[in-house]
Order: sequence, then structure tokens, then C-alpha cells
Amino acid sequence: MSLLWMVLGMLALLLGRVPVAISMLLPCLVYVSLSPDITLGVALQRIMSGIDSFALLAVPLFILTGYISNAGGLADRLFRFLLGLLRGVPGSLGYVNVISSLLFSWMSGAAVADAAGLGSVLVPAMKKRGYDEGFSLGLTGASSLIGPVMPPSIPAIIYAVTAGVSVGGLFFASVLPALLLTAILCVAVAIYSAWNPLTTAGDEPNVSLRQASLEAAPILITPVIILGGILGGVMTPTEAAAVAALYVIVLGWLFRSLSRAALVQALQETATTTGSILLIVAAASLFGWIIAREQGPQMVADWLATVTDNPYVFLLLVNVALLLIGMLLEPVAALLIMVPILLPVAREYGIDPLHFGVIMILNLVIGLITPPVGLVLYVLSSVSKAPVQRVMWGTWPFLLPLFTTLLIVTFVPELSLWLPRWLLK
Amino acid sequence: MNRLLRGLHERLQQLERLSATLILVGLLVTMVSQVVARYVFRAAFSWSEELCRFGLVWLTFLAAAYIMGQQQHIAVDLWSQGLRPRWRLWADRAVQGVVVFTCLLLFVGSLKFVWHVHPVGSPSLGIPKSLWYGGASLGLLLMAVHAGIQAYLGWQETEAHSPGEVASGPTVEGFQLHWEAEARAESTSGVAGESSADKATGSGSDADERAGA
Repeated sequence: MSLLWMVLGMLALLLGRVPVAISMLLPCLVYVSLSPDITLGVALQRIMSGIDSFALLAVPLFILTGYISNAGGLADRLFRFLLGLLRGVPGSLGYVNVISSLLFSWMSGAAVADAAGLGSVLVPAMKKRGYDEGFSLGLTGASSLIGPVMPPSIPAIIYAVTAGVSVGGLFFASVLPALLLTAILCVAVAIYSAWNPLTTAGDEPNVSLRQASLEAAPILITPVIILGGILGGVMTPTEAAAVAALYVIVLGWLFRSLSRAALVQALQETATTTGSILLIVAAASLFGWIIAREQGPQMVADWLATVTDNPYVFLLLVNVALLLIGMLLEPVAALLIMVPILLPVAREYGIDPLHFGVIMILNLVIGLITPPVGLVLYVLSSVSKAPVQRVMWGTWPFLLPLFTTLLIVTFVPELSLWLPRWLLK
Repeated sequence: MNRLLRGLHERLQQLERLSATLILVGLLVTMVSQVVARYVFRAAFSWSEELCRFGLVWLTFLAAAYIMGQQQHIAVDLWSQGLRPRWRLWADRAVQGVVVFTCLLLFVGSLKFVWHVHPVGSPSLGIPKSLWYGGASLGLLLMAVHAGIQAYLGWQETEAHSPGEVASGPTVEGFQLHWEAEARAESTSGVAGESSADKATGSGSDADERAGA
């Protein structure tokens, strides 16, 4: 009963515009204060245990890598390389949009950085060459979601730490689903190009492939450092994040595209974004501990047992619930609230935690392009100067490829589990 | 009095942002040094992970205090845009009151625990646990101070303005979604990413500085 009151209190505070971390913290502190056998010192200890983690250190370092890549103009170089590579292909700018997001996702783990960095370049370029504005905005928004799925992914680190699974394992589990999302979005571009042959024929600016390849080659080494370093056992994910951050700083300096002011700004913004995310992680640690203490997952499992004993029906229910939650909550906050409740239940249904992690992340990032709380929608609106309403209409059709990806990832566990089993055996 | 509080609010924010940024640089340097030491000098550090975890705790709470001062913590705002300005200001006061109460409750309630763990040192560096937990305690206190100052200054400004008039100052816009600040940062500074930048708060100098950068 006290758990129900706690959750209701948290929801009331969230709806009252109280910051997410405080909304989680206050009901927990009231619970602790009313419990005769726990002190507020124990509460502080639980809060600290949430962030006193070496694996979590990868969060600020990967955020920094993303910021520096944007500030240092690395996204532009990738864009030019792909333009040169796909010259002559009908609808090339559409493919460039999707594949730039894929390449950029190897340096950045947040959809917002991707949408802001690539959206400002790609949406005007696509509009200029006759693409429908709604399609351009929708495609940019949908392809930015590759970022938080493909490693290095901030939500993946948060999930791995909360669920107690290997960060590297989850990184590798996310690779094929992210590639599947990329492929399905490319199919959407192909269908659009087939229907609009006049607007997408010969739409590419003249870019020398040789020159663009030389400019982009050093950037394409970044994923080799991150994934290769982890896979080869050379570095932990946290160390790989630090080396990748240093590498993009050096690249920006060598390309003379990263000014000192931009570097300082990227550092400051990384520090503040880290505070914003990790304070929620800290509060969620106490929240998760109380949920476990009150046997919350057991209650959910008991209730679900009366509904279904089929893991696929369970996963379907989880998908619907998470899609609704993702519409309201930012992915990291939603993960921190839902992982302690759902993961123990998923284990009872025999679902692999890595597979479940990929499902949760994909579900929740879709919320980034759905109203009312769709971070990417607002960033795209800002960088493209298009009204939010128009961005929303543009993204609706892309829910179809996103849901298709989600269903395949949900019901084909091997897609997530094959790579980590093969690489990490 | 108002000027003094506003000055304190801004000075604290500058210190918090500077400290958090320096800690981040320290973390980056330590991690890279660890890899270099292991593979180039064949000498692994025994202390670097512990130092980084310690740094991460302080970075989190100092940065959290800074963004509390900037009113940029992630929150869900589904209804306040439709409120009349005066009601919205009161809604902001209520949110700030909740923040002050929560932070002070945990700060005061856990002080005894922090004192109690002081003699315990960390395994490698021997850093007293009180310093470890002290980062969280200091951060909570600073968050309460920022929210308290914003609530007080906002209340003063509410009193100074006629009903329905929009006041300017640190608390006018209240806690909004992070993306609103980001969107504004994009449009003003042109720098991408999850920025924690420009918001029409009392720390106007900070916002100008970033937009200029």
C-alpha cells in the first residue's frame, strides 16, 4: 500500500512540474522518515550508491564526445563524404540523412545531439532540392533515434548499470537492432524516391569523393577505438569513452574546426548535462531500492501471472506501457523508474536482460519524437525554423518503420543476442 | 537585500560551473593517463578508478546545484503554459518550495550519518567517507539555497507587479522541460547538443557569455 502511495505521490509531483529527480526523491524520503527501521543516512547511502560507479563515468565522457563532434564540425565532414559516395543514386539525400545518423551515432549516444547537428544541415539541403519538408523533418527525427540505440549509447549505460549487466554486452546487443532500424529507414527513403522520382533525381551537390573520403577517414576510426577497444579487452567502456573524447578533441584541433571557446563551452555543457542526468540516477537508486524492499516487482509479476503466462504477450504489454511512458518521460528517467519494476518480472518470463534492455531502450527513444514531451521534435523545430506542429506531422508516418523495427526486435531475440554471444563467448 | 541575494546566487553558480567543469577535465585526464600508463609504461594505477568515482560524485552534485540555479532540471510541463502569468508565478513558488523542503530534509537528516562515517577512509586513497558523502550534502544544500533565493526573489517581484503582468527575473519561467532551454540555446548560440544554456534567468551574464561564445 505504501508503495502505491509513493508512486502516486511521484506522479502528482511530476505532473506538478517538480523536477524529475525531486519528484522521485520526496516520496522516498517521506517513506524513509515513516519507516522505523531506516534512517535518512541510509537513504543518502542508497542515493550515493547509484552514482558511485566506475561504469557510469562513461556517461559524461560519451556526452563530451558527442558535443565535441558537433562543435568540431565532424558531422559536416561525414555528410560531405556520404554525399560524394551516394552521388547519382535517386533519393541520395534521404539515404545520406539516415546513414549520417548511423555514422554520427558511433560518436554520440544521444538523439538530441544528432538531431541538432545533422538537422541544421540536412533539412534545409533536402528542402532546397525539392523534398517535402514534412518528409525531411520526419526522416531526420526518426534517423536521429539511431544515436541512442547504436553504441555508445547513454541509455544503454544507464540500463546496464541499473540492471547489473555488462555495458559492453549491451553495446554489442544493440548493434544489429540499430542497423535494422537504419535499413528500414532506408527502405522508407526508397519508397519515397519511387513515388517522387522528379524531386529526388540528381539531387546531390557536387562533392569530390576522394577529397571527402580523406577528410572523413579519421572520423570513421572513432567506432574502431570504442568498440574495438572494448571487444579486444584493451579498454573498459569507460576508458574507451575517455580515449574517444580525447581523439575527437585532437581531430577538431587538427582540422582547425574546434576553437578554444567551443571546447570550453562543450566541457561546460557536458558537466551540466551530466548533473541533470546523474541526479535522476541518484534519486532513482533510492527509489529502486524501496521498490525492491516493498516487493514491487513481485506484485507486478503476480498481477501479470493472472493476465498471461506467455512471454510474448508480456512483451507486447511492456511495449504498449513503455510507449505510453516514453511519450511523457525522457528515456533515462523512464528507464530508471521502470527497470527495477520490470526487469525482475522479465527474468521470471525467461527473457534475457540484454534483449529486454534493447527493447526498453528502443521503446523509450521512440517517445523522443512523439508529443507531448518529444525532445527531438522541439530541437528539430528550433534548428530548422519549422513550427513544432509541422515537425510533428512530418514524424507521424515514420512511426510505422519505427514500430516495425520494435516488433522485429521484440519478437526475434536472436537479433539482439547473437552478436554478444558470438563476440563475448 | 535582493541585490545581495542575487549576487550570492550568481557567484555560487559561477563557482559551481567552474568546479564541475574542472572536475570533468580531471576525470578525462585521469582516465586517459590510466590507459597510457597501462600500455605505454606498463604500470597500472591502483588509485585512478577510486579518484574518478569520487570526482563523479562531486561533479554530479555541483552540476546539479548549478542547473537548479538555472532552473533547467528535467521536468514535465504539460499545463503551465496555459496559466495566467500570476498563477504561473505562484506555481513556480510551490515547485521551489518542494525543492527546498526535499533538499533540506535529506541534508539535515543525513548530517549525523556523514559525521558518523568520517573516520572511515576509502580503500586506495584513504579519502574520508565524510568527504565522499559531503559532496552530496553540499550539493543538496546549494540546491536548497538556489531554489530558496529564486522563490524569495520571485515572490518579491510578484508583489512588485500588478496582477497579470509578466515579471522578469530568475523565477519567471519556473522549471521547464530541458528541451525548451536547449531549443533556445540552439537558436541563440548555434551550438548543438543537450545544452544547458540560455534561459531568461537572473544570471543574465552567464547566458550572454554563452551566447557570445
